[in-house]
Amino acid sequence: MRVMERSFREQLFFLVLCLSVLKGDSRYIENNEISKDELYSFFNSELKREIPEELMYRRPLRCLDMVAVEGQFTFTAEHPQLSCAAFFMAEPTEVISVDFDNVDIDCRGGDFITVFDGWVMKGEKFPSSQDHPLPVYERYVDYCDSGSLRRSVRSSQNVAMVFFRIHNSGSTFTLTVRKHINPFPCNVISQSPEGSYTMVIPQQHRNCSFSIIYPVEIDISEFSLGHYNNFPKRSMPGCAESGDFVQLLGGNGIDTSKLLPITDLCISFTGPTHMKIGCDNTVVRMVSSGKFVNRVSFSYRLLDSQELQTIKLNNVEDFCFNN
Amino acid sequence: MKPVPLLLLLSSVLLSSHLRPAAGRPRILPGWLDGSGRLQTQQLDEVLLRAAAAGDSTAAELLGDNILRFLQRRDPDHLHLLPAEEESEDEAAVRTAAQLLKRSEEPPLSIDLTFHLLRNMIQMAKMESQREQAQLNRKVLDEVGK
Repeated sequence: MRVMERSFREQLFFLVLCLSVLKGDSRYIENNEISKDELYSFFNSELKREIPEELMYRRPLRCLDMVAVEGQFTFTAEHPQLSCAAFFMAEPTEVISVDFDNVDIDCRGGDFITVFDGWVMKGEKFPSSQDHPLPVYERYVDYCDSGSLRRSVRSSQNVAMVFFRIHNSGSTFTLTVRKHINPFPCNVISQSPEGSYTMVIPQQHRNCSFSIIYPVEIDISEFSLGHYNNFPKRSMPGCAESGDFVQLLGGNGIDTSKLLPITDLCISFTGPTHMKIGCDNTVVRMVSSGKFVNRVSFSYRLLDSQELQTIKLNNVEDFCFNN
Repeated sequence: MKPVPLLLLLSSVLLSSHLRPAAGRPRILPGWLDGSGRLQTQQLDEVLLRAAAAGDSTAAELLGDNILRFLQRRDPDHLHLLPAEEESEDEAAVRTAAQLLKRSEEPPLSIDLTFHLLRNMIQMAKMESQREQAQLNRKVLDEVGK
């Protein structure tokens, strides 16, 4: 009888313990660490990048502005400003996040602050609609529409921009710009007219563009398809048929889908490729089927005025490039 | 009855009383919110135009909202010529409809900038970034040196 009572008591205690754990009464033993999981804190670099307040860069934002640095940018309207835009730019391997802080604008009066995931110039978008994962209307995030729902917007590539319109003088808002590492950048606008870059698409079915908004001489040193399972035993029939190739595009806009193709390079090309391209925008675009780890390495340098002159004189047709 | 099954029954009853209803989407969507947004809104435009012409006040207000936003984007100078929006009873419906219409159209926010100006701006921004990085380095090294 006593044995039965003891076992019954044990079972009862066990039941009470289970119920209290499920109800949450045992919350006093919760882990209140800032990092959610100690095991993965090595891989989460976000926590370590918080800049202390005293080191945060601050300056006023202008109606037409270009920002390449992290910090807080405050716009205060001294008079109505109806068409303003600020461009944000980071290194190729970074993405940008924009946070809205201390926003004091009149949404109902027609004010807006809209962050765009990419750059828009003369109606053309970079990355183009074909190369960007989101549909067009999702790339525009309006502060007035989303309200308290979206205080922070993160770009998908190293460029972003914000459009804003303020009707009343005295209205103000602050944008906090931060940069985050992007290990496999896809669409990039180059900050400088000279440099070198290696683009890697790790087995993804997507197209990535590297845009150099200068007339440059470009030198593609390597294009390789890293095989994962089966290396193709047959040689590729041609560039158009193969699902993986590199395109060189040129033109005078930032939308890569509206540029002229200069040349295509696929697995059959041997040796480095030099080209002088006198266009305002030169783009190296990699088309990837997703079967391989694609990699292309290239370097580029600015063309001087004499080389540009030579290209313009040599061109029969009105294209901006020349071999 | 034996204590163990009784305990199990008791625990299951107590646990089930703690279940929370799961959040989910509304099961019944309004007719113009499902399916392909672009096609639906073209029909919505026509429906609204017809209704507004017939004198329906709600439709006229919905259309008015759309026209307001359309003109806002196209030409900000003409904005003040339109009468001010009045708050209607169906405020939520108006807003949702306006959002849907806004989303389906290509937002024409853009800036006309030459490449030359863009390159100059990039250059200035890079210089600012380098200056700031140099300042940050100096501050950090000052701290380290202390």
